[in-house]
Amino acid sequence: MPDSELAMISILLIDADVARGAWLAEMLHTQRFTRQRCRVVRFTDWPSATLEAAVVTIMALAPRPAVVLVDAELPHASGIVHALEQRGMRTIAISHDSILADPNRQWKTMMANGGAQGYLVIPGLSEILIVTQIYSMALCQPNERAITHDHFDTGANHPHRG
Amino acid sequence: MTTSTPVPTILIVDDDPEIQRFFEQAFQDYPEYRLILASDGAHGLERVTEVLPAVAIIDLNMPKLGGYQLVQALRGDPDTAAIPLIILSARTQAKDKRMADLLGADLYLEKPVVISEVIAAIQRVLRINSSERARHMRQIADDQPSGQEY
Repeated sequence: MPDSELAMISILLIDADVARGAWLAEMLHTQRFTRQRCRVVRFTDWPSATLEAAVVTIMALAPRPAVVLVDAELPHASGIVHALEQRGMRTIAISHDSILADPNRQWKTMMANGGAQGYLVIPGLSEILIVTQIYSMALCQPNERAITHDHFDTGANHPHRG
Repeated sequence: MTTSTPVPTILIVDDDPEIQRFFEQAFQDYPEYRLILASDGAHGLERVTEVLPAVAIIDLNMPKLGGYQLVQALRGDPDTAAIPLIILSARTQAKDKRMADLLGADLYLEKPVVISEVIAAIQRVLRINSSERARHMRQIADDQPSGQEY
């Protein structure tokens, strides 16, 4: 991998909540930890007409984002996550709803069904937790994730133990 | 309102039935803890929504949701971010421990373990408070070399 790609990690942020998206992008930009390491791209005009259009738009980005933050409220959110994960990209769901109080079980839709690697509840979470969760996922190599990652339909006979 | 001290609930998330049996038997000698089991990461997260545990002990390689995903979900939610988390895994590479550290796990135990090790780990993580954890996370973040993959 060229040094230029190692130096800055590209993060794509797709948030249906404009205020939260702006806050998150600004926070990632101002936190020293991520400012030195990450470049945040934000979609404010989301091409959400179809799942296919959304995935094609994301996959066409160059450089390809190291991690994609996907708002769980977006149309086709879990489908987008699933499609990106299947193509070797790393995704984190962002939500307003706590795991403990989520009547719609967004975490299950996005993580267990979609395959998102993380679930960030914003606002409310401390900034250091947000940046370390995002950064750690950006650094995690796809083949490392593949060992721990199964969907509901493929996990019954998981060969790995431990 | 009761005045009795609540018994800390320990959640074990591991898909290996042998490990589950081990903990079921071993915790019979430790009535000061209440044990609950989950057979994979998604089941573990369900159990967290039902009974907010005092400590969660999490395997890494599991179906449905892996251990890293479960740690990310728990640390990514302000309502669950303060739950002490222990990774219990047969994976012994340094990069696994660094990843667990960066995600916010409090301790990393390698399998095989003896129950006294696990109890000592539980007692240790129960003493960690949120501000200590935040300080530790910031330290880990500051120590990360720029752009290094692992």
